Amino acid sequence: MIPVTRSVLYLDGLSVSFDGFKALNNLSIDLAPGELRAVIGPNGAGKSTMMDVVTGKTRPDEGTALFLGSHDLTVLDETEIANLGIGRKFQKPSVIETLTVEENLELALAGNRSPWQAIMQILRPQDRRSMNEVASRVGLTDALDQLGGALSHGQKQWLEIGMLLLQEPKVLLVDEPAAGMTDSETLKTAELLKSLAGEHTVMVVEHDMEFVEALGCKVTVLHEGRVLAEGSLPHVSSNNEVIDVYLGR
Amino acid sequence: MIGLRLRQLVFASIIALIAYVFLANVMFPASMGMALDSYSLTIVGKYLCFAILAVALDLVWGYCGILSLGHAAFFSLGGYAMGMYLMRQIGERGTYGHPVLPDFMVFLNWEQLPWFWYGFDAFWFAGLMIFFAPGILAFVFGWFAFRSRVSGVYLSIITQALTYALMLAFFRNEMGFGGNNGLTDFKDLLGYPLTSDGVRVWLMLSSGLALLLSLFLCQKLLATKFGRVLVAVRDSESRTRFLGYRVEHFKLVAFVMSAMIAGLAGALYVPQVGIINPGEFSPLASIEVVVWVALGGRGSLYGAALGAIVVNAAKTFFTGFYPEAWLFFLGAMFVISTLYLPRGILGALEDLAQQVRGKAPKLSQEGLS
Amino acid sequence: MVRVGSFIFSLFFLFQVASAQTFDQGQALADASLKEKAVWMEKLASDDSEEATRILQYWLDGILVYWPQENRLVRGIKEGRRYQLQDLMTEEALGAVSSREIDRVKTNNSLRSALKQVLGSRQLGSSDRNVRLSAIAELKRRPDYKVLPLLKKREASEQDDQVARQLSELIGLVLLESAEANDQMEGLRRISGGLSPEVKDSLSRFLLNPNLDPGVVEVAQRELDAITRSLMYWGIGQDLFFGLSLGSVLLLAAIGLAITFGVMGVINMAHGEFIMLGAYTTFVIQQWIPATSMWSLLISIPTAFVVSGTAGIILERLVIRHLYGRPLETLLATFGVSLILQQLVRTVFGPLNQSVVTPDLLSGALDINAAFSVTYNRLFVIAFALCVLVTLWGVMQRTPFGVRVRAVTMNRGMASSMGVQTQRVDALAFGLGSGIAGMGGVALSQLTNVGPNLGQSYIVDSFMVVVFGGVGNLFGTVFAALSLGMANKMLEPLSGAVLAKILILVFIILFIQKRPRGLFALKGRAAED
Repeated sequence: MIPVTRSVLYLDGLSVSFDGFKALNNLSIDLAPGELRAVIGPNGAGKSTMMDVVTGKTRPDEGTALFLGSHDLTVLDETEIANLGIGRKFQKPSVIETLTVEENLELALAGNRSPWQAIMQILRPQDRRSMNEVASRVGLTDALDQLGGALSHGQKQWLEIGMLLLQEPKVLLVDEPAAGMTDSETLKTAELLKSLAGEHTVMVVEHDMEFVEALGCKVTVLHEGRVLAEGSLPHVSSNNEVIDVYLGR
Repeated sequence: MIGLRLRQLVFASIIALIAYVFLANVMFPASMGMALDSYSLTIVGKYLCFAILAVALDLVWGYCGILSLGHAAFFSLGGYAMGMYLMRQIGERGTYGHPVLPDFMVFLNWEQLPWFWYGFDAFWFAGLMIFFAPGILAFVFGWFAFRSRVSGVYLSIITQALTYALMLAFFRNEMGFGGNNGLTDFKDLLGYPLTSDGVRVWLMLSSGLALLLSLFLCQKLLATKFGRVLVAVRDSESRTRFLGYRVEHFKLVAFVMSAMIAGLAGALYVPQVGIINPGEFSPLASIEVVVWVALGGRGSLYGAALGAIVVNAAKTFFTGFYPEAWLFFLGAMFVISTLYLPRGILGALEDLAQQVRGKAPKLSQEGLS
Repeated sequence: MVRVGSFIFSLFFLFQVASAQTFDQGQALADASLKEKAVWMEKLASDDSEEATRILQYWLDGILVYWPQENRLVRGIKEGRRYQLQDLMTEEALGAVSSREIDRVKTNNSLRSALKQVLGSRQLGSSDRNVRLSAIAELKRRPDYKVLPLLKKREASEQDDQVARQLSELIGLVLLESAEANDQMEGLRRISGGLSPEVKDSLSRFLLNPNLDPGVVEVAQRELDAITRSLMYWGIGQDLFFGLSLGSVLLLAAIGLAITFGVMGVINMAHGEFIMLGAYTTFVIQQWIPATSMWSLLISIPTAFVVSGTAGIILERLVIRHLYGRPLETLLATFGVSLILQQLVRTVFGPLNQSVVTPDLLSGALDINAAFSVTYNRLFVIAFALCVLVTLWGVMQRTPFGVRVRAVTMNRGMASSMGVQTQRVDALAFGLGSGIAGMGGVALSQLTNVGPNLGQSYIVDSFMVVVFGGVGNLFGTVFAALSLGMANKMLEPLSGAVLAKILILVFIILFIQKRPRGLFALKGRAAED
């Protein structure tokens, strides 16, 4: 199918309602390849719902959602979308609590996902290396044998980011990565995400304004299910509507 | 999860049992007086078959989170497959003396053997069907159920509905499986009479070996990445999907394997008890299997085997001496094991052992719903 | 001289005490062969007297006995090894004798049918209309052309409308037996519109006759078609009625389950036993208040509600509360409770079914016609379910409690943070659901046997209703219960009860693929756990 757009992620006119409540209301947003984008907005603005639509968890009532210009995200399911190369880090850290850090990482490794392969597979040396690399990158080298559930909140966040990296996705959807982190951890995370942009396309949903500032990228403000304003952080911070709705005086 | 030592203990006990019977009943002559009598052999054999069934359920429940409340259906299908072979072996020795048709068919005035009985006079065919029949049912059922993402309690209910429907169906005479009398009056297996001591011993030993084999295979399987994906599916199904795994396929593979193991258990069970009837499909039978696994310790394989043996031993005891009390006991077991023993006896023993050793208890699971 | 003598002799017998019988051929009758007995029967049939009627009646009943010692026929009722003898006419007790001293006058099947016919004809003249009606019904089973004059005579003097209609139909059936085309046509005219199985069978048989007039055949065929069509429609109506009553029972059984599942996400496997407890409550109350009175039933209803409701609250407090958030464990634990309850009832009341009597007011039926009758007990169940439904709707929609229950069902977390005491709501909702189940048990006791396994039969069905209809919506449960009840009853005549059940189960399994949350499920993120 010939791509209709060069955007990596193209969302147009998305609407989703739950029992009468409009979570998304004619939302349109698109990401260019390699872009780093921050999405902000008050609670209930539709940020998580938007991610749900992109990852296949929720089907929109109306609208278009295209990946790489040709894959229709509104008809594929979570597994297919994940295998196409869209990775998500959840708001609530969701690692597999009853598996060790190492096992979590192993699961996330990009590669054949079939049951037969899972039975037959032996971990190759290069896979081991990737896992160790990522483990050190997220600071969990010493915790490889610990159960996911035994990690601290921050460590879980990092593990999830690590898992995301190992999936080698084309697009990373990161939902509130700074939540519960210390200041230095927050900075580290921002650096990590910045370094990922370029090779990957990254969309970050956040509340922490310092974090968004540290990212230094284009910002989209959502409100009541649609885009309120878009542009650099200084630009949207001076937008009157945005101030009224979200930032305050 | 459950300590290595305890697992090894259970494994060793089974081997010890098999070795003992082998020596006492087979190698050394009866004059030594240590041999098990045929009644005990049959009882132990039954317990071993139940243990296999429990292991099969633990595979899908303890490790994959699929609470199947209809697993006895797979057990029974395997049992019926073996039963059909044994019926055909009776030949002319039945009450009506018909060389081909079993007694109950003659009684119903049937002229011919129904098509689905063809082939069961050959052991290899019956052997295949022991695995195929439950396997195919599991495949079809699982295919539809898992794809539609039915899960949790809803899934459990429809597994009950499945076994209930099968029970109703097998009770009907027109189905051609013996109706409410089932299949019975078997004479011999592979030419050897079922009532002979030798056959009883070998059946019991085979059950024991089959149990060891099932434990070994399941353990090996669960030690691979496949096992870890199953655990991931059990604890965070949605997350596992987002990691790109086709959860439905994994569940299906586990479910079908479990069904086939259960079928094997049923097939070994039937020649030892001498009968298979539709009551085995009853919803209560399947739920009892769940108690074995829950009480023994789910998610450990060995705990499931242990639970099966312990509960059935209790059942034999109660129904022999205090039949009225058996259901009270069983019911109480359900309540107690869910309220106070979330990790079963094996889990409780492990916690105890750790407390004795002075270690802090490991990460406790809140129950594996 | 001998003749005069026997005449005087018989006169003497005739003019004995008024109760004396005149039939003196007892021995001959007792000794007669079956063929000869038939002849005797004919003779007695033509004798109009009350005595002859009694002889024939007792003969049919198998208590006609010849007493050689007194050379007379008497009534003989067997008690152990002896026979209690009574006078034929007065029923005065005459003492007990051993079986060797008497000779029973035996019958066989054909004699019995003939006796029934004869007695039937006699009863046509009875002053009691019910006796006349049952006589007519009996005669319809084997229309005999020979009794036509008797019937026509009766028709002339029959005053009661209903009896007259039945009589006309009977005459019609009898006329069909004639070889005359005119008679046959009149017969066809008379039976037109009749819906009883006897009419249909007679018509079918009639049409098998090869010697019929073509005109007659045409009319007969038309009548048969009309009857077959009517019977089919009425049959459907009857099935619908049964379906409605079954659906009502399912509704009462399932609605409690839907409430507890909706509020707490808990499947209570002991739910069936709460139904059973309600049924047993009815039984127990009947031991104190006689069942024939409607009060017995009316008191059972709230009592069962309280009994099962309390049991539910206790279960919730002791077991379910501790397993919060673990639905599968709850399923298992409640299953254990179900086993315990069943065994408890078995120990206290015994394993056999107990008979729960239907009050007089509810016994019997409204016969709309021969093919459709509405039994009062089923009607009661339907009305009762409706009342419960309306009351429940009122509670759910209009009371503060109902609002709280719905809030917790839809979004527990939110409701809790708004100040709803979810723990109390849980306990009370559980009590409500279980109480309704108890009332369902009361209704059920009117329709079926009450035994310890009663709950087990309805638990699977209740699940199906909840799974099919979805949770959180009263209407969904109603719809599911009624449609499953109807479907079951409509399938039954086609495929048999067992197969019907299997088909419905398979349907539900397939249905769940499409709609995992049921027909009328709650939508939205909150409900998605």
